[in-house]
Amino acid sequence: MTYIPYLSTLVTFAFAVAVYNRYRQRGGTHLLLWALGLLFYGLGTLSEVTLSLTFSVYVLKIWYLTGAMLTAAWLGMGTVHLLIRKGRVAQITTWVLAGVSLLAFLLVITAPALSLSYNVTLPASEQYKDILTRSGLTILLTILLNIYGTLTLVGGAIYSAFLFWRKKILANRMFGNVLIAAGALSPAMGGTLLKAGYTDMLYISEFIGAILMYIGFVMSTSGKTENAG
Amino acid sequence: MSSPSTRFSPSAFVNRLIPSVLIILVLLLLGSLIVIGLSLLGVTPSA
Repeated sequence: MTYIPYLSTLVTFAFAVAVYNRYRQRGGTHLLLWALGLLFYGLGTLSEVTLSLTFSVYVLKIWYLTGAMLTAAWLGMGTVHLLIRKGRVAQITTWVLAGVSLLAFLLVITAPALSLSYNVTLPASEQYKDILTRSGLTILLTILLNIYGTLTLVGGAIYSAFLFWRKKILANRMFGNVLIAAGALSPAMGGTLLKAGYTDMLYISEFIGAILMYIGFVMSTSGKTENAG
Repeated sequence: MSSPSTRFSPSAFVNRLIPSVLIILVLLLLGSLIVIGLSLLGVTPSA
């Protein structure tokens, strides 16, 4: 199981570069924010790789901050920019999320860490609670950021797929959004299983999620025109 | 909004498959959100 974060990291960084390149070619704040979310995703899985080789409390904090707190929220923020074009809702929520992310950074960086023995052969998800002392606010922010990110990213992809299906247009985008929704749900469900006590499901769910979302993105962007979704 | 070239005619199977898959995804999304919400209340084994 320890090789899975290596694969997840490769896929996620390749995906982030592909999204950023598309942003450079075509512009669009949603693409830039998706690239940022994928960078957080990749940093989270890269931290898992590092933690499978050696232990550092700072790497564990980066893993928690990026993987558990910021990834879903910033990916979802990209979807908000894509789907809500009127008014300043997307801009305002982006600034709110930036402020919350800064607060999350400060909370995690300053969180006390217990110097217990860390077993590199076990997943970080199985051990972090014994090492990283999280305040009630940190846990609350983690949960709220994940609810926001999952709702906007998965809900947005489902909504887009539904629109394409109803209008019977852009089949590649319809199928692409179905895959993006399924891919985004995978780590969300892994995180949910983690909260329910199934700690070893997180790594595989992250890998499946990265693969499905990448394929969905390639499918969605391989069409002739770009209208929505 | 779209040119005729972007339209597609799904088979009967695909026409039934897509909404079914979307409904399953919505249910999974709701399930995930409920568990996240329960963890907020401290009901799940760990948060």
